[in-house]
Amino acid sequence: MADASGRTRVHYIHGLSYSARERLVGVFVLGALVILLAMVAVSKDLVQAFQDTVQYNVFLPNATGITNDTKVFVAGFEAGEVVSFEVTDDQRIRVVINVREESAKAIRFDSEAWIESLNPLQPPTIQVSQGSASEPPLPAEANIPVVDRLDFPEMLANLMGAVRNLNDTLNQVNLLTGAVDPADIGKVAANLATTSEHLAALSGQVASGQGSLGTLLFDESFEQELVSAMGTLNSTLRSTQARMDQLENVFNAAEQLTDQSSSALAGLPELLQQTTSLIGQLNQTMLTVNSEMEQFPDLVLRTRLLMEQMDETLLAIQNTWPISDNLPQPTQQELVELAPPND
Amino acid sequence: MKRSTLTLPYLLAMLVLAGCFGGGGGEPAPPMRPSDIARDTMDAGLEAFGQHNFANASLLFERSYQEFRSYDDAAGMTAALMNRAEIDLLMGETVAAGRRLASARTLVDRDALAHFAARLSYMEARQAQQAGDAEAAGARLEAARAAAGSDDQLALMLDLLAADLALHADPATAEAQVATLLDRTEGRGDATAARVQRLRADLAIAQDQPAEALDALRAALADYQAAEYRPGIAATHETWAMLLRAQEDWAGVADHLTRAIAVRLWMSDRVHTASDLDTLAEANSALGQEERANAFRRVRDYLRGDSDVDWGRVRASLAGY
Repeated sequence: MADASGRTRVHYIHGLSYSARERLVGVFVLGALVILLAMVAVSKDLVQAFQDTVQYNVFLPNATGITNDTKVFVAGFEAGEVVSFEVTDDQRIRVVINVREESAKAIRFDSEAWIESLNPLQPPTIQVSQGSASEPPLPAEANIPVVDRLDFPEMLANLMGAVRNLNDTLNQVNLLTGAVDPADIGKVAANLATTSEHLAALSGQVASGQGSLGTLLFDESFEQELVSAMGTLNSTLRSTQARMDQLENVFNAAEQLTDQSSSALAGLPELLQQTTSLIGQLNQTMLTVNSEMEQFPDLVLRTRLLMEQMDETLLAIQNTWPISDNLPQPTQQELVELAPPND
Repeated sequence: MKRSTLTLPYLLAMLVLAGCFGGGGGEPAPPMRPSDIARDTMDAGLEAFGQHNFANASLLFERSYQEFRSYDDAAGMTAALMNRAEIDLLMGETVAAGRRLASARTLVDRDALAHFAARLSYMEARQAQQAGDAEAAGARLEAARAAAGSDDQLALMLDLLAADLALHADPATAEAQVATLLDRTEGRGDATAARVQRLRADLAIAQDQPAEALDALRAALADYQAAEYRPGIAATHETWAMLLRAQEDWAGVADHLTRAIAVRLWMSDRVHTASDLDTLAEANSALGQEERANAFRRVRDYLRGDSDVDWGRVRASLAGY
């Protein structure tokens, strides 16, 4: 490289002594190390990786979505992660979790664990509830009892059922309210008022012995006449009863007959409808079949011609084979099989 | 100039290979001759006939007749006409059968087609019997016997026909013939044996022996069913129905005719179906089923009309019953 005056320019590094160059490199290396350590220091995960942890066991009925990266939350705070999981002999899933020591303090004997997957867009987590302060801390490698909490799909399924029920109920209410005419309600209320007025007047008249009911309840001569009339009516009813007894058998027989006819007739309209439909379909089918059958002989003939040509080709191919002369020749039949007379 | 690399051994090898493989594929198959087309059509008709698909078989025999006629093959034309006439006889189309047999007779006589003579005479005898001309039937039967030669199956058929003719003329004279036929067909269990059993039933009916007739009909139906011979199955049910009709067992008549009609309908048999419907209507009237009887009469009248039969319509009309 040359400058404006025509002299060649060299890089400044070539102007440094060897020891100066070594120092410069050392500065860069040390600077890089400092930056790396600073980054490690500010990285939360790395910091946490070096913190003391407490291991617990959680036995889950299933491990849907659980991986070694699944986060563990204690009292809502991220407190650790899954270390491993395995299927036990009794077909449960044993999940080993690591919880940082400071968060483990919140895990007590009454703490519970569950899988939470409320957000379908995020992987599930293992949640551990905060224990009561009165309970002692759960020791390391102890089992945290698991409770069944609704996950998002289950909640959604339940919600859908509830929404469906609500929809049905609303539909029914809608039908009910649609069937009621507000004018009718007004009329019913007016009728009720009128009826209550009449009842009041009627009870007054009965109490004073007025009208038929009043006479019936308070007039003694009417009572005697009524007793006599009832006696006559009683004798008439007895003779009627005797006739009715005779008729009963007839009615019973008629009733049985009616029942039988009714049950027989009940299915008749449906049967007729099905029969009509069946006949229609059958007719259509037969028409189609009929039209196709008319084409059938032609189709058979053409197929046979095609087969014949194919046969000719095969025979031509077989001509190259030494045993072609031994192939059996087809027999020819001219007439149909003999039929007996009058069949 | 560059010299060719093909040497004599290479050339010889190529010639040998061409000779080996050129023979089969080098020459295209020759176009079909008219006789091949006619023969194929005839074969298709024979196949349809074997399956009792008489409607298709009729069309195919008709077409093969036209093909044979197109190059003036009298033997082929005769065979096609006789095959078509056989279907007519089975379907009860007596007039049409007579017309075709007459055409066949002309060809046989003109071109001295002796190998058709016996069979043609047998068919003419059957046609005459169906037409009610017993005398002509007898004459044709004798002509067939004279020409039959050593054809055992044809001889058996001729004896069957002779017994049938005798039965209708004088049942007493037919008794010995029927007994002989029973001996000859014993253990065969085929359609011919079944026909002999049916002949025995006819004889028993003529001699007023209903129990014997019933026994013979059962045997006939069993043989026909074993042979899956549709025309015979239908004919047996029809004879059975006639036996029960004489006893005024109308429910039995209706049952057997319904079964016969099902078979006849499958074969698109116009004449027998109409006849069966007529008797079935009578049975239903006797049973108090007037509406059904009228429905059957309507279909019967349609089948006996002049128009071509729409079998889809017929089957649909009868499907509800």
